[in-house]
Amino acid sequence: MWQSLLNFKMIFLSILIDALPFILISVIVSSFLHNFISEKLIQKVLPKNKIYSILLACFLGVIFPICDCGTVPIVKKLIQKGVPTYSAIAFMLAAPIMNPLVIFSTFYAFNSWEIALVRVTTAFFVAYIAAWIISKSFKKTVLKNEFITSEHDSLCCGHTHSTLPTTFIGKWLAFFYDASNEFFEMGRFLVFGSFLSTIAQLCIPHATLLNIGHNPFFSVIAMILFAFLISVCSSADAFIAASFISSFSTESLIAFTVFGPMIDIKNTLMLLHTFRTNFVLFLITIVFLLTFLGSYIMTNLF
Amino acid sequence: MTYTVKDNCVKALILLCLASILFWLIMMNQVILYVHPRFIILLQISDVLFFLMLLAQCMHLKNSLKQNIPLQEDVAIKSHNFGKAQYKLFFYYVTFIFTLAVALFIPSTSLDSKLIENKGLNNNISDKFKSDISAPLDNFQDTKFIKISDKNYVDTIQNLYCHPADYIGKNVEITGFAYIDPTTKRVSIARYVISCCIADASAVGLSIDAGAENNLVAGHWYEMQGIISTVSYKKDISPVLKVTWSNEIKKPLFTYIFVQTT
Repeated sequence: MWQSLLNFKMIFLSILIDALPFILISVIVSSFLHNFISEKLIQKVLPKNKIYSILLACFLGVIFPICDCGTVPIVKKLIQKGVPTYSAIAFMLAAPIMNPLVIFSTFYAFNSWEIALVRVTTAFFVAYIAAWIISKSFKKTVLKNEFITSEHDSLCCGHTHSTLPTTFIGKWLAFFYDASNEFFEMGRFLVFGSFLSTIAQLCIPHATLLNIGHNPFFSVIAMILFAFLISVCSSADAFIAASFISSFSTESLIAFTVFGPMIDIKNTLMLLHTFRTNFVLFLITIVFLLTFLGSYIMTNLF
Repeated sequence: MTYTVKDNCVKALILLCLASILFWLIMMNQVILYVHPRFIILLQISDVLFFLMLLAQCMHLKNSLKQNIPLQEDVAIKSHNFGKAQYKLFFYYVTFIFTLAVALFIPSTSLDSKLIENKGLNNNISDKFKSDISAPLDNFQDTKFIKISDKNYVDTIQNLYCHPADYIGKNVEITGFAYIDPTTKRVSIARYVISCCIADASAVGLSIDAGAENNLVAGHWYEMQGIISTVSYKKDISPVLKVTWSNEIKKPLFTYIFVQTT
């Protein structure tokens, strides 16, 4: 019993320590964008053509590397400011994966550029096709109440806003203050995900894992479900996936690292709060099906 | 004390604890009990970021107290029907408090040998590896004595499993912990191999034949020498070390083999 507790501590903390630098870099970059780059600029550069608009939205994560924890409020604001729903959704699905930090952390976790490439191409496949289907299926607004203006008082996003002075040092302190708040917002989901991952590693016997992992159909479904439940940040989930590398197929690990940042428990709750229920259910269904399909296609393609 | 002040204080306290624990782990070189040494530079940067975020939290707290903002925000909390703000504060930070409690009150150690039952032995010497390794290591062709050290551990054992016939009759020295398979009762000398963090640890080891009267204890550390022979198991030919000499040793301070990525 005591030895199991020691093993639990070591595995649990190792996942957290491993993910820590990437979470911190992610919140720092996110805070920089929040403080220094306006959404108007992003709206201005979006082309009118649907194909190019979705393409650009998919690749916006390269310069706007935001974690999935923070995408829903931004997507809501973008739609309210006139950005087409399909482009905003493409950005929401792709940005948490198709950004340099996540690509680098995936490479670091798996020690393989190949896996990082498969993850990114699968994410692009899912985001692009999902956005295209949405553009054909939803012509009217998908927001729950489109007339509500973007109110953003001191408590609507769960944390207090900076009271720091507007001097040079004050601005940088405000920047780190925002980063700190975002760290607490995301960190608790990382801790909970690491906790579940550790329990899974300690409790699920190797033979059982091998049985699920070697079944090409169930392993993908199991990992998609696992990704949905643990709600881990996109810059850390590759480390959790890498810990299953010896037991699960590459397809299932790709499905895990693609589905999780797009749809998980915490952003589903935010989506249901922001968007109409039928839209959210439709979105979850198509992302699930496309991830399942995409993970097979891309893994075998590369 | 208002909700906002409490919130700021809790955040500052958690950041202080996280920064201090990380600083201690790095300074005492304990961090390699958890992650690959290549992460140390990234963790040093992380620690600096923690201190900067702590500073920002403290400055914000000071300024908001000076401007009497906590009282205004508490009015806003009441208007948003956050009646159970105290409970919310606890549940918001309970994961961090749990992490700190685990880090502070449970001692650090290396992974237990029994964990191999969950992780499996020699999983990374699978078909994938066998197909990648087409030829035996050149430097072992002409030598009769092979010392398996931390530096050549993974390469040598992979080669032994991929080309067992090439190693028959060679004298091998290996150090590791004893693992006894609960179903087959086969004994192996193994080490945990780490590529990123110990959550991805995989056990790599060599089957041994220590004779009928061996008194090896699972989880204990041994250094041993022996002659390589082969055995057929499930249509596969595997190497076995026929032990000629063994000695129980104290468990090393750092027990893992770290995979070199460059």
